[in-house]
Amino acid sequence: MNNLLSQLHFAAAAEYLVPSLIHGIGVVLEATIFGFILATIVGIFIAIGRLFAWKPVKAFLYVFLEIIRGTPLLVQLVYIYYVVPLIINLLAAMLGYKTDVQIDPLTAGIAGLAVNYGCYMSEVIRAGIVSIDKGQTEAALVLGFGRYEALFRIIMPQALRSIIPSLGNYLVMMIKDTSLLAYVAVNELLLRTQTFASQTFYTIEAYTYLALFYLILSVPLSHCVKFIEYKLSSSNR
Amino acid sequence: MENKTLLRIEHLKKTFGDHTILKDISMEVKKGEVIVIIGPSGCGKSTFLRCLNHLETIDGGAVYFKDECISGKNISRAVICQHIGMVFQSYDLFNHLTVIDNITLAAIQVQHRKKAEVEQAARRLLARVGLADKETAYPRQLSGGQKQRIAMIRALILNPEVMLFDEVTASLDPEMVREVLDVIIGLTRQGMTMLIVTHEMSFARAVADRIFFFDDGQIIEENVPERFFDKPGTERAGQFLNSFKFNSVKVK
Repeated sequence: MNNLLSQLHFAAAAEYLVPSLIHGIGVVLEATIFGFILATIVGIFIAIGRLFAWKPVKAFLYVFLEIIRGTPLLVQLVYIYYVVPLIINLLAAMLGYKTDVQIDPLTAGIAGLAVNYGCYMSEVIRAGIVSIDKGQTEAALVLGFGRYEALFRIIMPQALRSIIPSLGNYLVMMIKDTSLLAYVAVNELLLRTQTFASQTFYTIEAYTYLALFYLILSVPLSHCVKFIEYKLSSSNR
Repeated sequence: MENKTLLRIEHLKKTFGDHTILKDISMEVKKGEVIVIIGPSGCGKSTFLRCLNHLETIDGGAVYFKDECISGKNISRAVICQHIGMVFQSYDLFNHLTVIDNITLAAIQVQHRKKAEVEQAARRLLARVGLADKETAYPRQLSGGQKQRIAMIRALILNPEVMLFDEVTASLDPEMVREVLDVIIGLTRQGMTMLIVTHEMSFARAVADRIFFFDDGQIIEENVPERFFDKPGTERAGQFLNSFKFNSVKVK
């Protein structure tokens, strides 16, 4: 045991890696906060579209959902970062314009998280809307509210409240999935660790610190979600 | 009582698929009149009320409010709901809002009235039905009877000229029925025009100016309450009323 520990250099590794990882947390939080807010908005629109929109829109959303849920998040991120700009440039060239569109890594990462999580969350939001009694809508209608006013003022606040715990779980998952953004050159925790490990060969120490950092981020967050869930369920009695 | 016709329904027809719910309903309601509609379940009486304020689209006929057609497809529900209030069997208070917010929401958002004025009116109405202390409560903290009285205030605060009551006591425990019906009785004294669907026969007899007996999507009998209950003019109404009596039942 002594022998093993003496071969590892946690202190030396910490000296360079930990400050870098602390910097990286800022990137993780930025990606998660923006990603989650956008994903919620995307989810709400997809949910409403699939429930109430014109039939062809419903069909389109269904196909879109199948594509997103049928492909890995990592592939989607790579697609948005590398392929989408190329397509835009190609289309522009066909129209006679010369462009060099590039997407900022973090923007691509946030967009990928928003679309992917938005699709999954839309199903939860849809279930939340459907679970609200039809009488609530009718009561709003006979008071003179329009259909969409009833939806946004009366139904959505109740639906969102009932699904906050499920959405919270998606938030915890998302903070861990930001590690995938390393593959589209976002300088978050994993990329910083990879760079450090390949330069110093402190592989064991570096990835151990990385895992530790994700734990520090996600465990308190998931307990927060549990606490909110408990508070909501007790206040609904 | 003024003799002005407030609501005129002409040859109203409603179908669900190939099932005809309302066959040919015509009715005139004068200002200040209390109409009670009774009939076996599934006879279309709730659907009839729901057709009047566009909760159901109608398949024939027309509805006039003060000689103005309000049943057209291009008539906005928001306009109709300024004149016609409705209360349901299931209360349907908004669960995420306090009592006072439930009551004031539509007055502020739809009618664009001042918040202070509306809240004052709401407090007056709450006090009148004996619920002044429930202002900040949430619906889940209230009994069925309390919820239903608040649902009534929520409709009344918009100052409707006609009120539709759709079996408002049907899901209440017996001891709470009275407190809700008392609110309606109070409204009859103020001269509110009302269409009431109910199974409370003695209440119907007490408040109704006219009784309409519906069966199978048609008006079978129209009568004044005394005659209707004591000596119904049609056999079907008689059979229906008999089903509420237990005189002839011998258990021992």
